[in-house]
Amino acid sequence: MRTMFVLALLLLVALAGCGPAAQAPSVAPTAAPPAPTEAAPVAPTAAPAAPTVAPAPTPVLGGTVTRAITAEPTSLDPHAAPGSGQNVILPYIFDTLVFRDMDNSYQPYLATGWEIAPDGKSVTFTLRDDVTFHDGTPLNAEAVAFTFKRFKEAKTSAGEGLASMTDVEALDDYTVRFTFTEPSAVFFSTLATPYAGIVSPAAVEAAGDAFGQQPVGSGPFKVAAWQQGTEVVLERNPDYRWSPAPVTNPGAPYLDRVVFKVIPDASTQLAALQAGEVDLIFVNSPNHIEKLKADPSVELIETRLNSLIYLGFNCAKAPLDEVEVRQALSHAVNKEEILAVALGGTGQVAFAPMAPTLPGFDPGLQQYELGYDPARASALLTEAGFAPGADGTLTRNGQPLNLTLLTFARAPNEDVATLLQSQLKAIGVNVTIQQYDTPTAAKAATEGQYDLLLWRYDRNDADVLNVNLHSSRIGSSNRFGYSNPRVDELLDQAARELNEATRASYYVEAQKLIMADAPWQPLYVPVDVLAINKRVQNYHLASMGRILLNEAQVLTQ
Amino acid sequence: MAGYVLRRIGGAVLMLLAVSLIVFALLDVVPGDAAQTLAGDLASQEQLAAVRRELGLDQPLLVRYARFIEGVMFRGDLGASVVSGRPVAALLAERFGATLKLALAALGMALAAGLLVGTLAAVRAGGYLDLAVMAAATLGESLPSFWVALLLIQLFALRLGWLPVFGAGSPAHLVLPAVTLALPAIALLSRLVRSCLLDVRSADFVRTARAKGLGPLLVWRDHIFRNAILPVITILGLYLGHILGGAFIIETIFAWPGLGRLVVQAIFDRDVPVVVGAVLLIAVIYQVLNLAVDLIHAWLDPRVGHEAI
Repeated sequence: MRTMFVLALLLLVALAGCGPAAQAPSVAPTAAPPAPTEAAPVAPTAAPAAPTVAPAPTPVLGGTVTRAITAEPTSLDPHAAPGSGQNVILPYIFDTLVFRDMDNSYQPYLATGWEIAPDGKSVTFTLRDDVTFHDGTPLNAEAVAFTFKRFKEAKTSAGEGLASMTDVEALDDYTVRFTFTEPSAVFFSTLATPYAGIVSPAAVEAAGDAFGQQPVGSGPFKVAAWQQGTEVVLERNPDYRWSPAPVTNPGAPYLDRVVFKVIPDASTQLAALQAGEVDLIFVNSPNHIEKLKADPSVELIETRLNSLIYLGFNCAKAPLDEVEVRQALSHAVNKEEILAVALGGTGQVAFAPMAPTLPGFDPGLQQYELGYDPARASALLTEAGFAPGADGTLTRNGQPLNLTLLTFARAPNEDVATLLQSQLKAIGVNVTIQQYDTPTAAKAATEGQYDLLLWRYDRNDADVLNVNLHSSRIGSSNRFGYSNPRVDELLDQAARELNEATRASYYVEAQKLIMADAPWQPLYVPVDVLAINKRVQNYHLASMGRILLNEAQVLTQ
Repeated sequence: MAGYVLRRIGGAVLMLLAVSLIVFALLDVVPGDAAQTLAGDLASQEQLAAVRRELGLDQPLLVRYARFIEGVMFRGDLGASVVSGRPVAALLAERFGATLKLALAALGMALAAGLLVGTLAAVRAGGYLDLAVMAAATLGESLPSFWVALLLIQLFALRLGWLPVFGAGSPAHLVLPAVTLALPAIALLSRLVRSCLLDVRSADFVRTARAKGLGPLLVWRDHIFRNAILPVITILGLYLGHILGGAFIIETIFAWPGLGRLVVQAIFDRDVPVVVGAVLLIAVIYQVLNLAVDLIHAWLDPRVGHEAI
């Protein structure tokens, strides 16, 4: 027994001497930009991937970071149906060809470089030659080609960015070429999503349909255990040597484990964080944020997820098919009040259809905003032939202006909907709120069974406008029946344009027209707050709310 | 007796057929389907149609139902989850154990505490103890369980730090969810035990027993208790079903990996095979419980046995 103990001690000492701990000190003290709460990635131009807390003490090997997830993923196969929970876990297991930085620029990751053909119809990537999957097989051009053929065939909405891709072929062991029918502007943002993680072809063939339960990638962590309904346990990949740009640790993560605990209830997540049972949660409720502000052991980080909350109008349905009516209703909306009352002062007023963190957003678009102006709203409706009836409701040809507002059940939609209802009531419009679970609401929205739609998008590419407002999408993802040939033309041009600045200018032009047509009244940009126990140090915040734990450590209390 | 049991089983099978058809039909009427879950919020009509074809969701309701019944009847196969592709039977097996553990722990607590408190109240009927117990019971029945759960978490997990906030794995994890689930049952049972004991206490045969000179302990044990327990067992059997239902909310709050959360997620995903499988499992449990309660009744009370068999 005693000899065992001595042996174990010796082993420990030896490990501490030669493990990553030895190279770590060079990392810690230099990389200490201001804490992200101040530096907050509010402006899209903020420093790429702001690391965390002040200079870390000597890095310690080992430890576990535990994160709460609201919904358990059904599969950890990146090419399975995109559902909740999985996009949080996937980046730890899988690497992607390129890495998307906080400023939405693309950095080398598994690809060391790339070349776009002059006609824009093919892109050739050079890969790192030292990468292996968790199962020991090499990550080479064949594996990349296999991955993207599989991704395209998977028919998920996440793979839509590959629509114009015709082929992907390995030119040699570490060179791979993608070819397209026309230049694809969404290609790079698709490459950077967790759904484009490179999978091990050998493991996919061996596991078949079960790959989603036992995924094999090349990421900094690998799946150690998955207990259905309870937790997904990842353990460090000791062979990891290919961290993306913002990480200064070139080798394997210091942490032993990252554990994702499934906790469906937000109040329980909060209690678990405060009790120290989990280290990391996402917080939506303003009440919970207030509570956590008072907790000295917790740090709050605001993240922007390229999201927008908007009020959509059903342009195919009377009287909202009249642009004056849509403009009038837009003028009746008081966004400041929504922020103050429903969001507890968090969030940021939106005026453009493009989220401020996406390319194609332009602060200059604010002059086209249909801002809060109830007098103008009433005037426009009077011009359109509406007059107040006996009870104050606006009426035209004997028809009172009664509208339904459709939304999905998620905080704080109910509060926002209620405020919109009262704001529209003030100009004489009656609104009935219909709130359903997401699949039900989505179906009703797609079928156009609504007048007003309170909705949210989270999308990592400016093509969000193509998806939602291009007339070719009417009946599917264009739920607004919105059609403007000039807007279509600009969106098409943007979809083919590989020059970022030119592409952005098409989107700015399109937005000017869209804002005048008013199929949407953009309401606000939500702030999702990440609460993290201060014992977790040296994590990195990346785009899309991702938290890199490649060099994170935990302080022992 | 055997004929009675067989008749009951035959009835149960018909009932299960009806339940499965109703669930199928209900999920068909509800807007949205699994294809939408799989293809995502912004999928095009073509993507949706392709996924539907692949899953067989483009077939009429009765065809899908017939296929399901055929699988169950001839292959004992409940089918596979449309969303994850895993066999429904395996999913149910994984989750049901946790729910059963929670339900039995809660039932055990409810039975022990309910009998004790109810008996104490009956013995001291009309006294201060009785009054206090009945007031507490009324309160216990009316408090919403999600609120009780949050209070318990605040007190025992956050303030005192005695018990974990959420999760499963150790006996300590079981305490808070089981207590939350047991509280309304304790309240109900103690009231029931009390009133049954009081009813029986004034019955003629108890007076006779006392008149024979039997000691108070023997009167309570052999005459009052044994007779008063019958309705308690009936209610308990039915209440286990109620507890299984209540467990759905409790499981969500305490992140307990049980059947309830599986079903709730499956309903949101419109994952019909999982929902149908789980509802059938619960229906089977109800049937088995009902049958067990009736048989125990027959065994405890010879009069019931002669009438029914």
